[in-house]
Amino acid sequence: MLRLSLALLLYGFAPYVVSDAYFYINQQQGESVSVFKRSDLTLKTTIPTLKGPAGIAISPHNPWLAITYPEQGMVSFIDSEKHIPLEHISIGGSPFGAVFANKHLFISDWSSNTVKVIQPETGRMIKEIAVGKSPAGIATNACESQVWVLNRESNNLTVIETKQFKVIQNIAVGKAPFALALDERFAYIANSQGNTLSIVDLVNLTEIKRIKVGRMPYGVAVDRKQHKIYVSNQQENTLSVLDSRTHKIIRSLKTGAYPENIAVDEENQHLFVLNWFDGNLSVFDSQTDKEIKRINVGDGSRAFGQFVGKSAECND
Amino acid sequence: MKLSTLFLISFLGISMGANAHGPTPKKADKSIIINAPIDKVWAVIKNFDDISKWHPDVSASTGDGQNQSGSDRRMTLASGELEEGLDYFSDADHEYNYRLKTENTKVFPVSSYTTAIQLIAEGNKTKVKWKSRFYRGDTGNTPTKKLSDEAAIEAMYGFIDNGLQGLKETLEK
Repeated sequence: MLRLSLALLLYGFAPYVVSDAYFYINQQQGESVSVFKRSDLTLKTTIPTLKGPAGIAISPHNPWLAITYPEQGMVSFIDSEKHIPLEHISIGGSPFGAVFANKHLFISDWSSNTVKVIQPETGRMIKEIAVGKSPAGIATNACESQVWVLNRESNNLTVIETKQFKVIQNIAVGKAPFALALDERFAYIANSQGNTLSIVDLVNLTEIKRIKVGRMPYGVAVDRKQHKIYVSNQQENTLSVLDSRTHKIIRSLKTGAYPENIAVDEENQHLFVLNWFDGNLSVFDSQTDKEIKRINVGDGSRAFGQFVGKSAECND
Repeated sequence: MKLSTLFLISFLGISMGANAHGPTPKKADKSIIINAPIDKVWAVIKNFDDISKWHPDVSASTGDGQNQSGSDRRMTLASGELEEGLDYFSDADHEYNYRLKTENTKVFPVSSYTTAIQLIAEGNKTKVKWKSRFYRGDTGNTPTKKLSDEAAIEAMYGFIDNGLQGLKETLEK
């Protein structure tokens, strides 16, 4: 039975920060999400979804996941403690990227060129914000006061403030920006056709640097503890590793075929790389940058977005 | 949050057609063993502009002859012309990567693709690996049959199979 769960009723918007014990990989070629334990990297369970799950968001405040289905015009909420689907919501268009920020779910819809804002407790879409063409990667800053979305076909990004849902600024970056990650000071943007990483200052809202990385950068992750930025280079089966203090490339790591979505588990010192073509997940030790394990996740796996929970460090 | 402000969201019944796969990327992963040493196979396949010399579906091909990142080639198929761009070329690894430069789904029902071709020596024989990641012709949510996932897979697999077979025949004749 799919209905609003008790957990959702009990938690509402809890002020404390939940660090989810799991990470999640969508079976885009199928109809499920695989749930893995962050501690020992084993498969915990599989949650049924609709067909073609692509994007994922994990709420840092409530036991919720959101899953997007670009080909269905749908979004699902999932209970991340009981691992059961809660609701499937029709929002139309091609919902792709997703992020929870300031009590709402923000979705990039790459066919309608908007960011859609959903109120989780009602499942209602309360706002559509016009952005650039083919919005893809979407993320929030530490205090969730802004949402940043990459407009792949406009070669820029849009900064939205999360109280009034107003566009603050558009910022030009490299060619075909696709994925991003933020730390306390900067946003790091993978320009997939520019083969570059744009670094944008969160205060001045200006691009301070554009660094050459590998071919077709498709994923970005930041490890705040290790002071590293990771970029997956889809077309050369590598990761570029940058020092976040110097913004210089410190090494390149070999991955499986077509590395796409990447994420960091800062607590367990793991970096995850989804090797799309191989249908497996490389696990690296984020201190040594050595690959320690490869987990089979199946053909057609995708996890567009922050697929490992991240603790928020808002100092406001 | 007050309980009174919450209300239950009804589950929407969703019917899904058999073809509701949408813009999920597809992959092709094919290979063939050719009874010729790697240098001979590389000599035939390495010139990016010369695909018409070994691929039976390509009647003509032209380019700048540079074999370097940024080089383009135009190939003529029975259905029309396609333009592809070379992204990576390595003599040492016997490998090159390229992508569709300009979408033309009337000629080929795939909206975008990237391809990696690599040779691996297996004694005196050579394994040719051909990998592609691609999207169907219409990435919207209601593609016609001609621009569906099935059409894209059929076209891409056919093109790769014919290419590998043509290369084998060119080298083993």
